[in-house]
Amino acid sequence: MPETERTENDAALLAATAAGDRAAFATLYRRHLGPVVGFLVMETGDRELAGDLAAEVFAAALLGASRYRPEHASALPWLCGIARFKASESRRKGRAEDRARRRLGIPREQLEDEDIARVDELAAAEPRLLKLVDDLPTVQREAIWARVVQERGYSEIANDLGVSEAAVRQRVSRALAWLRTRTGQEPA
Amino acid sequence: MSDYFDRTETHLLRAVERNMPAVEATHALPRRFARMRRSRWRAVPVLLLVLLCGAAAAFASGLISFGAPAASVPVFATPDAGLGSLKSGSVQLLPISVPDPQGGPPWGMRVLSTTRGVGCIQVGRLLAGQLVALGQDGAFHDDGRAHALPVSADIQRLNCSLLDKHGRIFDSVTEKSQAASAAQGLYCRAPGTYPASHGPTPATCPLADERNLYYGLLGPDAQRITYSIAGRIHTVPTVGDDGAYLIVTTGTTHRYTGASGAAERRGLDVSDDVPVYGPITEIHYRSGTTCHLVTASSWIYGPHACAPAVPEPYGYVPTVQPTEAQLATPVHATLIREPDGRWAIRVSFKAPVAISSLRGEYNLEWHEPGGPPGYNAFEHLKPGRSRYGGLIPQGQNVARGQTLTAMIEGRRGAPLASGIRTGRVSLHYATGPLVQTEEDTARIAAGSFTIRVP
Repeated sequence: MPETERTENDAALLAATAAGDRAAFATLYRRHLGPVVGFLVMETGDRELAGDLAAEVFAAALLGASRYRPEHASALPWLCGIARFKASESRRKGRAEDRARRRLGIPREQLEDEDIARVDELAAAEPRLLKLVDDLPTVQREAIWARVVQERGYSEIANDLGVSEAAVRQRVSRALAWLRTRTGQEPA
Repeated sequence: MSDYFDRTETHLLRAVERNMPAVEATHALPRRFARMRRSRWRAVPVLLLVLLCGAAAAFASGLISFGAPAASVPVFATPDAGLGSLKSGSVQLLPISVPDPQGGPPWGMRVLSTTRGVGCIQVGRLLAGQLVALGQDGAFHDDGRAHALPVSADIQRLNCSLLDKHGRIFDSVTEKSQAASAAQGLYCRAPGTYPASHGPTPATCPLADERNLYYGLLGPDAQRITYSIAGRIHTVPTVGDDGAYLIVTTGTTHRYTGASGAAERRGLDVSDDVPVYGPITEIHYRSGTTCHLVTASSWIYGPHACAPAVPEPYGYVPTVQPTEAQLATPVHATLIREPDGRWAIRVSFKAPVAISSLRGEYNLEWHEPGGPPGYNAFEHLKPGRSRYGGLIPQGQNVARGQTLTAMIEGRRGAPLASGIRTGRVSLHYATGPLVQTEEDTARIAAGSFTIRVP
């Protein structure tokens, strides 16, 4: 049966996951699968390995759910940290890591050709957005990274940048508007 | 039809329901069946002693002569970095001896520990009370002689893990497709046994000389193991006080070419805190607990693998992990001009907690503007480099109060990109026996910084 999408932030979802709430983890998985796969494709340059490791990253996240300390409202930085670590371990050992899946009793699924195409789809969105963000003027890029990716407060960003809160809001607003015109949609 | 990611989601969600209470409890339960520690390796089966004597007799009768020792590799060169150096008196040849399926000297096993809290296991052929490699299968010019294996060996043949609080090793190793010679780094891959897509593989020995090795230490409470070889079930006692086992079979990897062999090939060379990708299906503990390692399709981990429930690895006593309060320290980030006019950031802090084992390492991570989300760049913080690299994790001892410094510079000679860098220093601390496994590594925050590059 399909899991109901939830609206809580990631920290709440991980806390619920640690208590055995499967719908919470389903939401987290769907929310971040694309960015994690995109990140792994960039890290490894290997689509099959990226798909394989994405499953391992979420298994490790599941094992570590109770240890999660929210530094940002989004768990994506934490997941990308796990992904980087898993990619690094796989390079070091010359084989894709599967220890977290073994610990959870999760069988290792094989990726077929159509799954590789799905990796491409999932990975495509994230780097494109990253590239677009990269093309923003520096002041807007700083502001949108701090606000949207790191999910920091306007006053905190303003303090770091040495500008007014109103200026930060304006930069974020202009950056989002520019991204909307390039992607034809609301950025994540 | 569901795709790979849908199937993965289904497996993960089942695991949420099935495993979370178990995950919470890992390493957390007290040892319920503490017992008096007996003298090491007292429980030696008589049969093993007979085999040991037999091997010595073969050597004495001149059947196999000794050649020069195998080359040593300086993996234990630095007492305060990497694996550390050998602890005096820690090298022990275990009283375990297993016949080779094709005859010749039996297989044996030894353990050692180091100054940085690491324990290692090494296997080889056993002759005259020594671990040796044989001059066959392309090793030592096929001279037919025995060559003593050095303790300081190729890291690939020296399986190392982190000692528990009581100095015990918990490590289980699966090595498939090994050459019967036991020579370091020599795999036995007979012609035509690997798919062409795997590239050219060295045909180093005949198929009959391919071996699968399964060995390890299961802890002081492990009494017997049950394993299945070619449809036959065996239950055998572990050896010594730390639950040693060693199983040697003829190789099987050659049977697993093509898609149907993918799963088998994955487990070519694996170590974990319980046996994986091998024939062992059950571990029986002195307390009466039995842990079932596999179902028909998957691994079982955690307390629910065992009846009655105990955490895996059973008997492992964790070390004391530093707290965030103990680690809290100011982190200083300073913008500096390099001689060539480019910007760089110097990050420094005083180590709030000393590091004296491979278990812990300070880590600096930060967000590089324009890069992927999160902390997308990192540096290990340590005073210097150890003298030998290879595949060894490169942590180094740090004194409490010692100042650690790292530079953040532009990559590949490029100027440091302008923008805000937010970063943090944390202690990466392995909570279990294995080094550098994400799920068993705590990241304990020490301090953070934010700095803007113009």
